Amino acid sequence: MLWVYFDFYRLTLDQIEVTVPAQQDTATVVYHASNNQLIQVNRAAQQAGLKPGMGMAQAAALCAQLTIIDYQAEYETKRLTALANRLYQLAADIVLYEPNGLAVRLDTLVKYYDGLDCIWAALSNELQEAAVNYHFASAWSIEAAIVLTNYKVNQLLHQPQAIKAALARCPLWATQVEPKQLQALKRVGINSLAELLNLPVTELGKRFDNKLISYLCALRAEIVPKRIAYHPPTTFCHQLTPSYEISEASRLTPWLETLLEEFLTYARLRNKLTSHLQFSLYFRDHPVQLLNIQSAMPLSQFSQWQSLLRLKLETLTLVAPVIQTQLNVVALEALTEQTSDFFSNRQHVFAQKHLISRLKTRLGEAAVSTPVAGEDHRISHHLPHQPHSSTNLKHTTPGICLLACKLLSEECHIEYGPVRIHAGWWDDDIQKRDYYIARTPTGQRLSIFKAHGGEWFVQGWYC
Amino acid sequence: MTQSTSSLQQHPAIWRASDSLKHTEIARLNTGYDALNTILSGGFPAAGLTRIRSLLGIGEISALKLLISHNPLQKLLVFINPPGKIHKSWLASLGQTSNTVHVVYCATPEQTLWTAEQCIKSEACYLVLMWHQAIEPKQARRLQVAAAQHDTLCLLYETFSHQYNALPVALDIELQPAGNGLRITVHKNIGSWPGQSTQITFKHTPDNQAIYRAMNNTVALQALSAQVG
Repeated sequence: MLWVYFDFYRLTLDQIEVTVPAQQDTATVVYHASNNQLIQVNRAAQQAGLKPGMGMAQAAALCAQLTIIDYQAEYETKRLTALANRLYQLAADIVLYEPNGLAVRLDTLVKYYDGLDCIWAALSNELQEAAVNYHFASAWSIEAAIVLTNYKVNQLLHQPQAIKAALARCPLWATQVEPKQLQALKRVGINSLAELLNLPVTELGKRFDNKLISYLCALRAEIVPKRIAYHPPTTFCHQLTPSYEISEASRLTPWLETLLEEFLTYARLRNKLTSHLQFSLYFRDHPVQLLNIQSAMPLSQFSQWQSLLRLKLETLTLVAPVIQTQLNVVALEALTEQTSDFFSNRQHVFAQKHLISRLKTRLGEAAVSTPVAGEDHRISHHLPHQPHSSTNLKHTTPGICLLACKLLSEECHIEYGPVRIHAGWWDDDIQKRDYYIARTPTGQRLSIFKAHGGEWFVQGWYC
Repeated sequence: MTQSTSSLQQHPAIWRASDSLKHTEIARLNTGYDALNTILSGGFPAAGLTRIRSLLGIGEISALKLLISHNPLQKLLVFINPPGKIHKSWLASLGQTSNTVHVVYCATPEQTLWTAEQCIKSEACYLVLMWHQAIEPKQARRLQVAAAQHDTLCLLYETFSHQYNALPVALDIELQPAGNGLRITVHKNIGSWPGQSTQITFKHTPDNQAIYRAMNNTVALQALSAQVG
């Protein structure tokens, strides 16, 4: 057997940042009140010097402007289930380790995906789309994979020797052995996992209880403990908790759309459709407000539901700020002749995922990218994989930009311009440029600019 | 006589000239230009390999705006080996705003051909645009068969750096800049006559005409100078 284990160590923060990208810039932490510890810390908070494990007083002293989110294990479990639902598209054997761990069995999939690399590309692609951070490791049993993940190995191991060597390097704290028993092990002189694994079970059985013995056997993959595999529920009910109270109806859109997308994945897997979505909005002091969206016929596409949802939100008035959103779908309908376009669309979605993972496996992660975009006037600062950036730049961008600008060496005639860009004083890459559109005698249209020093460069072509 | 030619008539790649009028079963995509649709007998073929010989930056992609924005089934758009970075806001100006666009950069010509074939065979793409110089007839044939079978349109962009060679493709055209648009010459079009050419007019970049017009408008300028004193 080969299992991969994922540890989603900042699930609450990831969910907030994917729905509200602006949250990345404000220091945000997830705080566990009962043991007075910060559990998750975003990058802005890290820069302010905050670390997981700190107390609230220390955190408040280090950073005055801090957004604090209360840690709720129950909520993380719900997000984990949503992730499992997403991965269920790609893999059948999934075991949940609440609140934030998840194991996927790989060896049964090798045949279908044409190799381990392809499965891994598909899984990591899906998690990248879900925008979650995780530590991972693979091993012959879930227990061993958890130990390696706790030690942050972050490697996909499949050779028994490699797994054995990696396990031998792990310290004892990375295992799931209870602290009391760790003490006992220390007293008899066992300080590392390698030593523990080398001892015969009968020797250990004299001093330690059955629980430890069976755990060790599972670690060596000698026995397979019983576990409940994830099975998606028959009705759909997902929740999302925004990081702040929402008092404007239009601001609810990204949260409700995330829920909607999760539902459509769920429905696609089952070949089901619905014509009735029920959103529930929770308030602090008021009773739950229901938001029913119905369509005349069952719909399958995100854009169709999205337009209905936006229409509904335009007319909605909120009685109080919303603290939680939920989507409930009870009436799932089977496919009929009229809705057969759903089926072709379903195939495309899986074919698309398969294609991208194949390309990434053969050509490398860096070779497959997306069009560049960015919230900057400097085109050289635009990057691929920016799904949320706006596309309405004030000046016309060339269709194809050169990777590095080259000196203008041919004669050409200016048709449009200048458009002056003067930006970058905030990050020491000052660009003061006058952009023009020029036409060469052969009819090619170039994007050229005159740099501050007076030289002319070519930025790209208008294809 | 009938017997000697009957085997030829069975061949899928050979058709009688008189058949061209009946070749309505080839699905065509509207290009948005009446003159171009006419000489292409309806438009671009909906599936198959199309070679476009043109210089870089004459509006060779913008001219096909309708093909890029027409994506009823929410499939992927893939650019293979473009000569630079593709910009998202430019795609938005062509009517393609979704996040289902991918750009693949290949290190070798073999990889480019492999990627194109994978994209076509997956049936996950509605349009594949590839840049590849001097494709061989055998390779082109392979892509053409795959594209026709899997119902995908693949555009192959080629510059004039290599000599023209005949290819077994569904459509083979050449673009030349002309006035405010392009002159399009058809070298080969499945099910119709080659050698025709037409001119289309379109505009894909802004220009300074508005400023020139304002500067030439002497009445307005005088009024402005009178206001300023």
